[in-house]
Amino acid sequence: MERLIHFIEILLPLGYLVGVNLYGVAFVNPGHVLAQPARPALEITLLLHLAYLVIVAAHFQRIPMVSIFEVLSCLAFAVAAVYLYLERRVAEKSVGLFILALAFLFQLLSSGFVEHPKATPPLLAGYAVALHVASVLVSYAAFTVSAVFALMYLMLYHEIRQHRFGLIYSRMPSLDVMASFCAHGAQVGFVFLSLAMVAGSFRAHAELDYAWYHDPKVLSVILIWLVYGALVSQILAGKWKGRRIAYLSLAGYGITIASMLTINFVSQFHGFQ
Amino acid sequence: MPPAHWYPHCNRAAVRHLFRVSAGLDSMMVGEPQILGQLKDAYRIYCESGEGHPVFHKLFQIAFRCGKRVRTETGLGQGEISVASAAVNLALKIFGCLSDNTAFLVGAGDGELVARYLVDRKIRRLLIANRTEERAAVLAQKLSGAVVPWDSLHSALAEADVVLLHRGSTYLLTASRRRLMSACSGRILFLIDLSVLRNCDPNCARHDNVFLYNPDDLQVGRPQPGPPPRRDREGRGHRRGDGRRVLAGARSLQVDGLIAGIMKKAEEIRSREVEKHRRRFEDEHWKDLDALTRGIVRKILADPMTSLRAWHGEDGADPLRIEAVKELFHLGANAEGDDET
Repeated sequence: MERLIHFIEILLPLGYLVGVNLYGVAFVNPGHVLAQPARPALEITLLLHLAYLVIVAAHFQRIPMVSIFEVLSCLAFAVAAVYLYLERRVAEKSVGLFILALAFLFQLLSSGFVEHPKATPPLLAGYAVALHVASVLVSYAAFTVSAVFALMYLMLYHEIRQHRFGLIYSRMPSLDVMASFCAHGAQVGFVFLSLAMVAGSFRAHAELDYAWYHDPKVLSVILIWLVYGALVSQILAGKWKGRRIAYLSLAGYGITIASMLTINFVSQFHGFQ
Repeated sequence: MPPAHWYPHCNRAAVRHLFRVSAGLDSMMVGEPQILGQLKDAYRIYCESGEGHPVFHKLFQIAFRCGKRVRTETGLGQGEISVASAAVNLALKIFGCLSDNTAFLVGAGDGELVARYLVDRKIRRLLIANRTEERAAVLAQKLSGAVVPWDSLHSALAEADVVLLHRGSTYLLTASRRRLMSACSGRILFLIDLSVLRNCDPNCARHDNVFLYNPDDLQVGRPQPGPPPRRDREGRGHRRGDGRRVLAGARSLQVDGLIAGIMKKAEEIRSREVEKHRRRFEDEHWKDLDALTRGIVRKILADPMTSLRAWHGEDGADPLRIEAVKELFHLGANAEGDDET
């Protein structure tokens, strides 16, 4: 079974890479014959990814999010799934290249470094942890979508400001649509991050007998929560529009990814192993 | 248009200018299709004036054909080529759907087309302000807009997402840049300065949420600096080929007119001189004399006429030579084909 898991781990980045290339073709030339199979290719990759997560969960008898690289794989899956949902809803293929590029990167890192701990840490047992993990996954996927739309917003914004009407101008959706997705992603992510923090705090309070709130991971998540909190409050107040929202979303996402890739390793209880 | 804005073109330069205009190469937006319609209107007015001349008829017909040919056989007519459509497409790129936005037209002059495009794109509200309120009211009725009194510009500005500025809007944006900036805080403002002499202070564009554009910025179809792209070379090639044909045709008509003028003048001189001696001849001799003198004149003119007809070739009918012959025979402006093209 583990050989099958390893085999799928090799296939998954390749699947996302094919998706990135096909969506790249769709971005540059929407009428090209290779643009048509982009969505089917993504759907096949997502099915394979789902199967992988199910196999890992069944084989190791635990949630497939115990190590940081397993979390990255789940994040790649969630981001790609959110994108597929968006594409079906708004019939907009031009953002696929950018979102799937991130999904590919996450899966590549995951496949390259993943190890599957056989034992489940005691901290990861219970419904509160399940809620915590699921909420974190949704919030990170939402932040990813928000950041990608923020990046695209800034690219188009600068094209329009500099009076350039090239490929980015002709292919990207309107600034308003991208600002709206960026804001909604941040709002959804903030709500789920808050939920994850409450569920995690509840579990940590019950299980840990030291000052867990001084842990670097906890402090970094509080920083992320504050950044996105400021962003969401400005969106709701209607004071900020467009570029500032995009910059703040990217800053929040930068801290999120940096926290995930670095602070987890120095955290006392988010290393999971 | 005041005469100060006129500029003359003669001969080859006139034909080249007409062809450039018809192809849209002389337009503010390169390849703009509207200019061909305007040229047709100008030609219709010219025809209705009753001053029509064969050279001009032929010239305009070929210019229209050339304009169409340049657009269909080159890439010049593709993309966003009209100021109005480019402005509206840009508004759509910024705001997505316009059904939640308000447009404000300041000056009811040239902005009607852009405003109409915005209305076609289902803009939520169109506000129109003009110094002469009656003009604003007429336009507002035509486009289902609302009239804003000239002294309420700033309150209208606070509501607008798309602002179209025309001649006479200077007051709005030089006197109140700060107010403009405060009006758009927290929202995006798309300013289109459509007048030739800019109304809008470029510093307005420094604001994060202000997109300031003028027709020059909207020139999506304009070729980049450097070597001319293929489509422009092709366009120029079409114009040159057609232009040469028109010039050759026009000069052929000039030469025909010249020949007719010389023949007419010679016949007038012959008949006048012969008529002086009419009484000295019997009727039967008179007919012979008339035929004889006609023959002499025809023979005298045979060689010059043959040479003139040889000028029908493409490059043969040099305008200088035509002028020299006119002077030689004292053919003034009355000679056919004497008009400048």
